[in-house]
Amino acid sequence: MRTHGKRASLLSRLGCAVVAAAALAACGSDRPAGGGQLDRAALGVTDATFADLKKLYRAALDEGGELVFYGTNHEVLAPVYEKFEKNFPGIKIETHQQTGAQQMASLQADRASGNHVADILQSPNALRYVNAGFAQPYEPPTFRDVKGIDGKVRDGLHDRQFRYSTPLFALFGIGVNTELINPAEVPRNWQDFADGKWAGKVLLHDPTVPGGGQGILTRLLLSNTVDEAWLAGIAHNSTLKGDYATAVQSLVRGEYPILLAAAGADLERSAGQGAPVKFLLMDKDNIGLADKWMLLDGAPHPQTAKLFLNYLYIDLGQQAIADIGNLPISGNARSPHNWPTFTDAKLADLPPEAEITAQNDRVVAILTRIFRRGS
Amino acid sequence: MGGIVLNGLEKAFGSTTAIHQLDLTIVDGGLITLLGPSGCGKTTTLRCVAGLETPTAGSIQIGDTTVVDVAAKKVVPPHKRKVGMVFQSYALWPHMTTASNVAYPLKRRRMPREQIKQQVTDALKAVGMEAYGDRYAHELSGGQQQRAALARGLVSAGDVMLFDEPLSNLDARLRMSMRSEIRRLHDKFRHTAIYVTHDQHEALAISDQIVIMNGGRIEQIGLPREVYDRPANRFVADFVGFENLFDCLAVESTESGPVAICAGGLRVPVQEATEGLEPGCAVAFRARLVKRARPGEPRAGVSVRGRVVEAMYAGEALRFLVEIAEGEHVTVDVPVARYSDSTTTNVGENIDLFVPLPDIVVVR
Amino acid sequence: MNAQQVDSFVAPGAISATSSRRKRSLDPFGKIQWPVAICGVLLFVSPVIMIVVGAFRTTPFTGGRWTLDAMAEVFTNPATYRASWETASIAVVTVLISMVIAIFFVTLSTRTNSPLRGLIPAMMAFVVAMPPLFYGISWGLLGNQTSGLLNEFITVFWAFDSGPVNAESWWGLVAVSALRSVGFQYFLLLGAFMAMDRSLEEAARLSGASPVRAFFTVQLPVLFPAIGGVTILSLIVFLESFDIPAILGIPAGIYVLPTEVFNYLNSGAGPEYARASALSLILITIMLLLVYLQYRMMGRRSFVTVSGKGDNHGTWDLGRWRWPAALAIVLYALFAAVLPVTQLVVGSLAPFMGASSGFSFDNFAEVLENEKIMYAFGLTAIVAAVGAAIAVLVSFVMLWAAKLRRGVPRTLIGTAQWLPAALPGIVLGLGVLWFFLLLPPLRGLVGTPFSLVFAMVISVIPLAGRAVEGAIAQVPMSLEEASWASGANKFTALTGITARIMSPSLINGWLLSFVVLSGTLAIPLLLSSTTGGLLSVHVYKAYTAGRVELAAAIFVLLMIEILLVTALAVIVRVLLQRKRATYLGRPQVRGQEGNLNDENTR
Repeated sequence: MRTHGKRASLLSRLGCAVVAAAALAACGSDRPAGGGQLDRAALGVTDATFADLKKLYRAALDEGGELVFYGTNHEVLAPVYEKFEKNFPGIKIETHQQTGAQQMASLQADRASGNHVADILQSPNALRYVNAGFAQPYEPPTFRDVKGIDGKVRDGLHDRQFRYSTPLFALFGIGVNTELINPAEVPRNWQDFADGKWAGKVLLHDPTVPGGGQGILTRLLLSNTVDEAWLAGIAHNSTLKGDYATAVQSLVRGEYPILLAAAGADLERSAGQGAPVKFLLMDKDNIGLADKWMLLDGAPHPQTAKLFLNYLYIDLGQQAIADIGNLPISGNARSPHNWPTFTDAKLADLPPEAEITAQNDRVVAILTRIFRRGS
Repeated sequence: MGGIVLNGLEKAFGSTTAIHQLDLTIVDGGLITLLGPSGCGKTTTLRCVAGLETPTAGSIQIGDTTVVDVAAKKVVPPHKRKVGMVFQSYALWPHMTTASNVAYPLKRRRMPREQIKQQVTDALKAVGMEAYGDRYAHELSGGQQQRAALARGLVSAGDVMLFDEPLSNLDARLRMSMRSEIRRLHDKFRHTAIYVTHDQHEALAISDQIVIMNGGRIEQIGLPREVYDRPANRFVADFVGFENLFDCLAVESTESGPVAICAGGLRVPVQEATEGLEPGCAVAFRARLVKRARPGEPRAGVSVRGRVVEAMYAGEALRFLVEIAEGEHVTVDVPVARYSDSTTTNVGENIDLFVPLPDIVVVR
Repeated sequence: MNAQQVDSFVAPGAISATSSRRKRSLDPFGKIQWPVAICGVLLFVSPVIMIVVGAFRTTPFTGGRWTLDAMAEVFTNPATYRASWETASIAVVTVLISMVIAIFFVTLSTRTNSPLRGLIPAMMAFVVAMPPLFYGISWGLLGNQTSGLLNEFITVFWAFDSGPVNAESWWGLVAVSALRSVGFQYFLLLGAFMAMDRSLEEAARLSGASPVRAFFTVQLPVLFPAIGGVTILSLIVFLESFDIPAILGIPAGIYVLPTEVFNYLNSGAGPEYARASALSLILITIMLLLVYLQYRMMGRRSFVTVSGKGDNHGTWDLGRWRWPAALAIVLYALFAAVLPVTQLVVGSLAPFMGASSGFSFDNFAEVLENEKIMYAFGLTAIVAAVGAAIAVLVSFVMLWAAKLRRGVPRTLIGTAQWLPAALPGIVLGLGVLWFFLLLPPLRGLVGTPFSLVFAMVISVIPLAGRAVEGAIAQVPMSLEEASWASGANKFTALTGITARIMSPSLINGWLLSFVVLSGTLAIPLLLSSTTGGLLSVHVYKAYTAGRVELAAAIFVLLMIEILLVTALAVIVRVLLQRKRATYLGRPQVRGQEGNLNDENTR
């Protein structure tokens, strides 16, 4: 996606932008560039799967070759989408990034107005939309074929009616600035960070406001990995940032050596761009946020959506997920960052998602009590 | 107490000069009017006296105090000059009542509270506004705003009152009554006053002395009557409404004495009343002083014959445009004939005109 | 031809429009006020009503029921009161400081001969164009105690253990918010300061007031309505500002109302609309209170008489204070614009935000190669331009109607157009959404550009209204009356005379609205589902994914676009002004028509 050494064409690009802006009123959305042939070798699937995919692909082209996503994490997932577009030519993906109230309002509005916009919703919080009745049950045939996970684990990745399924996890751990601290000196268990010797050295996205920090600490607490005393220690040791992105920046700029509850994908990308940071996993009780995907009820392009959901579970899709620094469920995918596979990742034992949601108010109250001592 | 002396006053805005080397003395207690068309420098002169503009050269003395002396680099800021000023837009402060407006200058001079109250009441009474002290400016009519502004100017004035076209935003009737009001107040308080206007009738009615200005220079200084009847030059004559102006082309010697030949073939005897008439000068006279001549009635003056080319009814008078030579016209006002009169004048008719010599003014 | 008639061309009545005259002459047209007032209430009040209703419903969508739970929960929660107090104290201090600075710079640029004063408007435009999110980030980086540029600079000269400047603190939050507020306060005050009749101040000088005293006892009080209005608007804008408090406040343990609203809406257990609505009610109440307060303070005093009749010469000669004044301009430019913009540009060139090497144009290349972002550029420009134009037009019509006659409709219009200011962007967006969903004919428009532009217009009305208000006050009604008398109907008079004369001010209002709408995020995030994302949405995506450097690159391009549009608007305005100068002839109107009458009465 990133293109280097294009400085020379910058000006011409700017020119195009101006022209494009001017011509906007005239030109509408591009029609997909007709149908293409699927390359079975590139997809790397069995004959039976290939036949299924081919059927869905034809249907998708008939639907117009468009696919629209709601959800939270599309910028990070963009390479996964690009690979899909490349291998299934003629299909274009459009994303609407929304969370919380906005996401819920959009879905409600679409349903009330009858103007359905999106086909697929992706979110770690997909359950609340499932419960609000926005999902259309669908079991992607390729989900059954994912290698390297046993049946029990697999059953934990979807609900009984298949209103959602989980192709990947976002991994959270510790981010360190390698210029300020030797990664070997950093503890590999959560408990040690409450020790007073880390005072003033730890960054944390404020857990009293919604976001990554709150999500991770809630899960650590509900999985009984840590207790309130630990939280108090962290509250004492850490500097809070109101915004996850500024917390990452602060780490990158060397203002603090450690970022607690860092997302692996972000840190790996920063490191890839030359930032002096490293992502570390714990020896146990790692926190993975299950990224849930659902086919939306009333989706305007249901066949295209089904094609995409199948793509997520074949090796091609799973490897694309691994490449961007997320944790795919397949044992076949190899992480370029030398991360363990899903089964080896030693994830913390989390209560069911519904339980976490139900406990939210109580946990936030605890976090607020502990982390807002000053006020 | 004291008068105002302007000495060599000059004011330039960038490359344009608004006032050129102005010298002017206003006697203590006098009311002088600066009269002229817009852009003649009258307002700028006034603002220099007020201290709202700083002249680029010259000096101004108010009473015994030199308030500006450019050469000596001395400038007294406006708030220390103790002058009262009435603005064209009245400049009443909208966030204060009439009484607070009037009290403001007194407060600035740190007058005791009771005294302020007394003075404000007196000032409002003087302008007939005692009943409106607690009104805001927008709750007053135009004339009342004007009176309030006057009252404020009066309490602010030490010795000097300045008026910047104060009546130009009022309607004609109100203007007439405010005119006499201002004169009455002047006679009562006897400030040395400068009054700026472009309305000659206002100037004539109100002033002790009139200064006619043009292009930043003084054209004439005189009593109202002098300025109105004996303009010094073509500009003033034109400005105060002389309809007829004829250049002198030559002077001939005749048996009865020298006679000036003017444009249109007008022959003007050079006598006591027309002394100094020579080429380069001109004669001027008002339309209403031109008479219909009875043929063969000899009198000292100018006689001329011409054809009526235009007639206009103007209420009290009929105005004729009489062509006396190719392209030369005399404007004549004659009293409107009573219905009982038998004589009427028609366009196209040739008539004889006569101007008595004392009514002719020689202008430069 | 009499010489004195040369400059008599306008009747004196034309410049003495007193309120009684205005009232009388416009009575027959009073009827127009009611429809406008009703439309205004519908437009601006209904989203607010939806929010009020929302506070008492379990869900604002179908299937909800009435409940007091949310109200009870929010108003018994001590965090609500802590946040309210924190918000109020910071807002008051921020607004007081920024108003003083804004008045200082408006005075410098309109009334003095200070060097560099010509730079002030450009500098302020830059500050307004800086999105608050990036303003916060830039200052977070600049004012960081260990690695901030400012501190590194200071510690070169003075020995401090840690940097003395800390943006992540109470005063840091106040200072940064104040620096940014000055920008739009400046533009809102500008019109009033320029239109003020100079003779009011001159009269004070002649009454014995020193320049300083005249400034404080006459000029400021006379401008009180403008200053009061802008103060209230800034307070409200601060009350709903989210980005800077989130970035600079939370590390210092400061939580404000908008952060709390955000917390409710993004709660881990799903959005809590009712609680968020209940909390927003506090903002609405405060806003209504402030508007009422302003109304009371104005009392009987009317300021319509403040008009630009006086000659405009008379700038203060600052004398030896000229250079300190210039220094103040340079310092403000440095802190409010140059430093944060530099930080933003540096960030856009960096491989990651905070990098110290490896700078390149890669981020720009990436943006320019992304078709969707390029499309969003054009879309944003069009939506913001159209939204701003509609907002100015609507404000113009409403305020013009309000001016026609006193009474209930005027009060309705006046208050209604303030209401949207009390709602944080997302809450306003929700209000509009629920409003659309409620009415079946509008339901189909949800998610289309129509609902997006609708919400954007409403959100920017309080701002556009301030700009238009000042302009309307400058145009004497008599000019319009003159055109009715000349046979123009009401509409032609409005568009042909009033709007034409006001066009430079209207363009200013449009520009301000355009700039704000170009960077607004919350509403497009919620309402642009079928139109494709606006630029701000792409920025948000990049930012939340940790691609701060990419977001910075998009913003740098957006700033360039805004600057181009600004330049264009300035050119149009200059052209219009030139045209206006020729057809209005000499602006100094000197009434003189009485002379002819005098002639007759003599």
